[in-house]
Amino acid sequence: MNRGKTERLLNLVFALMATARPLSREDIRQSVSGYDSQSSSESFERMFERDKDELRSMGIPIITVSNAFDEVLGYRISQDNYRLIDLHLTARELEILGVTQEVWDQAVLGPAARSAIWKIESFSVEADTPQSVGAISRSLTGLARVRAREAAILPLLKAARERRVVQFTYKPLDKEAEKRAFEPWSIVCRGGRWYTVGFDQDRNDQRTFRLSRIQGTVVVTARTATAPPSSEIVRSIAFPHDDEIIEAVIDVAKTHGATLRRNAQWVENLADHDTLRISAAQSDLVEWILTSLPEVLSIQPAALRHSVTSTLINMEGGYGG
Amino acid sequence: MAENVQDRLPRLLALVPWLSHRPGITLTETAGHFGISVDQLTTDLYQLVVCGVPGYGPDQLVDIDFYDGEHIWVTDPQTLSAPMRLTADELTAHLMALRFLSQLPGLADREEIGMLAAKLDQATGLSGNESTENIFHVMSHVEPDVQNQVAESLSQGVKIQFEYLAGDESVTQRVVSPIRVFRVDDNLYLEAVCDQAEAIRLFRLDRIRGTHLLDDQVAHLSDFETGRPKGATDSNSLEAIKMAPQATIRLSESARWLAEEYWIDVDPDDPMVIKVPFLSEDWLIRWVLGLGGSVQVIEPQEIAERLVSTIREGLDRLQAHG
Repeated sequence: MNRGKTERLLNLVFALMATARPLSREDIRQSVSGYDSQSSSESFERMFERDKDELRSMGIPIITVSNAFDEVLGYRISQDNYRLIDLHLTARELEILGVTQEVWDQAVLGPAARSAIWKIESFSVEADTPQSVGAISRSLTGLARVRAREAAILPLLKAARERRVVQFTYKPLDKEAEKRAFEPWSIVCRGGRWYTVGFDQDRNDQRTFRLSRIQGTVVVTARTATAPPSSEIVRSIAFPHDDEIIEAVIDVAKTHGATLRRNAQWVENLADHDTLRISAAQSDLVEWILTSLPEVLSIQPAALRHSVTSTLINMEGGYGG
Repeated sequence: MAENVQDRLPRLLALVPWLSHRPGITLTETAGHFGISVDQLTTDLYQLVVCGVPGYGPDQLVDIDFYDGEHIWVTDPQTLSAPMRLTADELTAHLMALRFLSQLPGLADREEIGMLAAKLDQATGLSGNESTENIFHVMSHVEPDVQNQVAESLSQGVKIQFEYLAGDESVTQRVVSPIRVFRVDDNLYLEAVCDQAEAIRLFRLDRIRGTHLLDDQVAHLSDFETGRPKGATDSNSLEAIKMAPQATIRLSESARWLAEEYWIDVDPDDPMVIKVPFLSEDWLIRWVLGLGGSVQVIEPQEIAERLVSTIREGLDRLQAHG
């Protein structure tokens, strides 16, 4: 049945590409192999709608042709629109693309990186001096690898590109899972973790979600995003989500507390310890302080210290006091 | 097991022009290149030759000769003489990767990479570079000074000195001879011969502070074992993680997401119990502390005990300092 669907979609692509005039739905139903068996017009309509959406989601440029009264006359694929033009790549450039494909080796973008190369390889490459071929891949191979494995990345990228609303179920660290309607602006990798930044329709405000806490799949809806993305906001984004930024002053032992030091805006070297000043979200500060716990000597402000000590008291309680 | 149409159709559409460009190529080579089995390729080809334009007479179907079981000739591609334009994801994948490469300090082929990106961008007419720039960020928090000085030491071939804030929370002074910089995810690593360790070591650029260039020429690589760097890579590699001892850890509801991390195994009998490989006890204790009570160490018992005493000492110290 999968086989039948693939063949029907292929035949639809061939028919729409081969025609000079737009094919009406009736033309398609009558002439394209795979649709002829549909007895009722409702089941044909459903099937054709799904197929058309699916082909478009793969990037196949199906044009809807309408008359002056906005009535749909039919559909076609323009060859000029469909075809990749010859990029006239050199053998060395094709080699570099081989390296950039490896960057996504274990990532969700891996299949797209690979299929791009199949397409480009359908043209002849321009000759280079033979000895230069091979040198590039030797010098570049292995220099970059990004293991973006989160399945949510692809639908979020698509929605961000097309300015559309997505729906997903999100489980915050300390709250119940909730359904969210969200307009993604950007996908961000930071500190080894993947996030999406955008406009949360339920909260009516900008939010950041961690992709590993999204449960199930991200659904790209047909609805258009309402809030204009701000690249300024994306750049200056504070992580994570709902936390306010606080200014902490933390004393740590000399030559210790590397995580805190990495995030410090200011380090003061004193005789027997160092004082760090760090502006960050409270939950990040608590995590960093706990990671460096054996070397942390004191914490200001008191609210942050209480948050650390109460977490520690809870943890201790978990091991039977 | 049935392959998804979304994966399959783009391959079928790409196959025809790719094969047309390589008359007589073998089934084995083609299957290898597309990452599929020869059986799958044969199924694909049988599927293509029953498709075509309405009418579906002999001249209206795709015609591919592969019946000797060895070589493939496309005799009629119908409308598929050229490949489809690059999709947004395809463009994003390559433009991002080219950007990652060109951002590496001290890279020699930067200009060629830039020209390739421009070719891809212009050919697709999507202005992919611009839109990708705004929606996909892999942020590396390297201080500009560190980035510049490392690039400088690579191009001048001189040693560089810095303070290193290591992952094990230690802070040390290093003098190194840089070899190259590479990226894994959002981290940039400097591979270098370290004077202190007298061996090749990896340093994360975001953990480097207070760099300055020295006048000394870099140490000769041949004096050290080249090839696979020792130390940091070994202990971080997936191989090492597979061989490492495992701690048994119970998750609370709020830490359930941890079970999805690829390097963690879940207890087959209890989805809330995970097996965490650890290369050092200190690392494990700091990792559990950082998770702030959302997980609990069950085994090994000694680690649970060390953890509790670390918590008590920390509490005493913080409460005493008010």
